[in-house]
Amino acid sequence: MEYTILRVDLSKDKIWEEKVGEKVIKKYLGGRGLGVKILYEETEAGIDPFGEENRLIFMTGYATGTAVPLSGRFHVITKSPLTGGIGDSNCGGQFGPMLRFAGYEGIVVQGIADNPVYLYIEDGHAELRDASHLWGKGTWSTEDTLREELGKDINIVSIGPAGENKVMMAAIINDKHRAAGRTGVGAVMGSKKLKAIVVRKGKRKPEVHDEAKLKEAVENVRRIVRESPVTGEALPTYGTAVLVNIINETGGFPTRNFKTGVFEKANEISGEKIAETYLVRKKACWGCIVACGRVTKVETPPYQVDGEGPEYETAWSLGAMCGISDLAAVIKAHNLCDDLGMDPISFGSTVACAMELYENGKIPEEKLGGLKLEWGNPQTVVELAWRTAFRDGFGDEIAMGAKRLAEKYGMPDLAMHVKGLELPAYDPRAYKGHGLGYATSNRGGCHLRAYMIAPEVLGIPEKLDPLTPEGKAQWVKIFQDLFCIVDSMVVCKFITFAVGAEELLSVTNPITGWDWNVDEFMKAGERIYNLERLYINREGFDGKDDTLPKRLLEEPMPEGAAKGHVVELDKMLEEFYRIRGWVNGKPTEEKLRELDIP
Amino acid sequence: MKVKFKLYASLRRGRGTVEVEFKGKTLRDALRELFKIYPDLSEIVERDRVKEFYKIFVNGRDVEHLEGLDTELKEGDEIAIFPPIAGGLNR
Repeated sequence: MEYTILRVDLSKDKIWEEKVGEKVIKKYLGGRGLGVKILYEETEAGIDPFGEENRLIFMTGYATGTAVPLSGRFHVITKSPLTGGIGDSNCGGQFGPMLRFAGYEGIVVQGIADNPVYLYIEDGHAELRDASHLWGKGTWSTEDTLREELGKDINIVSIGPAGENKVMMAAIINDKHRAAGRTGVGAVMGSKKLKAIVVRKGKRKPEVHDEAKLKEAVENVRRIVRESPVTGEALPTYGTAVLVNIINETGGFPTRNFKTGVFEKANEISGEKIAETYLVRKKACWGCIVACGRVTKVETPPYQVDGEGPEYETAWSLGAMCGISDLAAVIKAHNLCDDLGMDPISFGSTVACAMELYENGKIPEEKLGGLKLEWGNPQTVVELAWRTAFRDGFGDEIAMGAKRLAEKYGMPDLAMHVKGLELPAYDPRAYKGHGLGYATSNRGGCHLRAYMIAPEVLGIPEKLDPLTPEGKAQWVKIFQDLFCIVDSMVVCKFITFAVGAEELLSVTNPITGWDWNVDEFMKAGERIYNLERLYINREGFDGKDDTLPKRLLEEPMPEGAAKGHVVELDKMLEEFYRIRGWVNGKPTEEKLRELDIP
Repeated sequence: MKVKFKLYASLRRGRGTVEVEFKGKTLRDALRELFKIYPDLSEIVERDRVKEFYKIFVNGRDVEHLEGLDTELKEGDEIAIFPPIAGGLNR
């Protein structure tokens, strides 16, 4: 097993290739794991995320673009400007497989270009090209322009104005609607003046050690994915927004900046409602048999748009989080975020934070340029998407993210974040283990480092009572390690709604030619999680940062199934550190020896 | 006693919310009445248990973590029912 990595130094206008051998792949797998290894080794602590020395790493893994279902993804790794810690984000679409077919498992970008450029890749060759005519364009227009110039058989990742303007929550967009959204990876791309990466469809086949064995394992995995009620029925029929009603019913649908977990108008922004109103058809990423994407169209003013979404997360962040139930406005804002290249979770959460600051009289009217910052105003969210991406007026303040905004206006506890990253769409007072997952997530407030909603609400792989903290720590560790594997091989996390480590291993061994057992496999995941932890430790994060916003620890949930509950974090955290072999949020020497890192 | 059933996803079929008046104390009793009104919904109970992958929440609490079909109800309780959008292979 060998990976070919494209190295690009934008300052020196230099491009070269590097091979990554079996030994390293066995330790870090690829994707997220290999990315953090490169970032950890090649950069110093305390670097400027927007400086020449920061690396912007695009990485696939051994499963990307193979016959393994849901393997149409790639991972982006960098130092996050939003958090100052590990920046990493996973993205669907077509780009991951296309990059491998064109000759490379990954791209590591360093330096800063003098003028805007894009990277063009075809059949194992790469060059930097002038992108001054693309600078200023949204991601949709960027893709359209490049296709007009270069033909249709290309695939593109790009940034929009948000990335160009180093908006802290800027995303990298593929296929107009798929986003490496979180931690501000798009702002790093903007700081490097790298507008886009274009790959032309190639014929290189990803390396597979035993095709026959892989075929057999893949057939089994495909069958399980098809038969699962989640991946075979719910996600295809209603998309991810199928979760809106079930999360609202269980009392953990964060509403008006997490003031409560019950949104009285949740149904208006639910998957069921989307299916009844604006849905045109469903859409899949490369190699996906689930097709959770929603193609939607709003035809009536004032929010006309021909696009996609919302997802569960955007229905929430652009909806309930800001008290908004106007589905057309939510779809409009969702698509603006895609086109402008912005993470709608962090954006919507920061707007909600601003709304609560305003409610508390902290934001003077003259700052707002005519914007109405009261809860539930759909026009405000749509308008602020523009202003934020272009850093216009009050948008310039939203662009810094919730933590900096709330600190600026003197109420830091109103920012609903962990380690500087805004929380996603689950109130952990209703799902205690999920709260431990947020608190101990290496990249900050995130549901994709340990998705405890699976056991605590959906009953996967077994049913856990969401309102008790007992026994949750071991599950959080398992999810964190497993998701490191999933993000590193690289496949979509949704596959884990149907299959577990054994099935993922059943495709890993035939591709790689290894003869691993589940323990060895999970150990690789644990190693990656610990290396990420070392990275953020080096940047100054420790046990004090493994926490939650005060509201979730001290203000009892006012209504719904979790009424009266807070997150009993301390108890879970103590157990978690013990199971992890960490002290005060840092891996012990013994643990590092066991994992053979750094 | 009167309770409110909320039907979601494929169970909805234009019905949304259904108020049911029934005799007895438990979820089982209330469901019996619901099934009289909408016989197609009886698919959610199998062998005297909530059918695998279906979810019933009483005031937001999964009855799996309460007393199952024996969960006692009170006037005005809200009962949400979801088809198999949740629940994997239980492995």
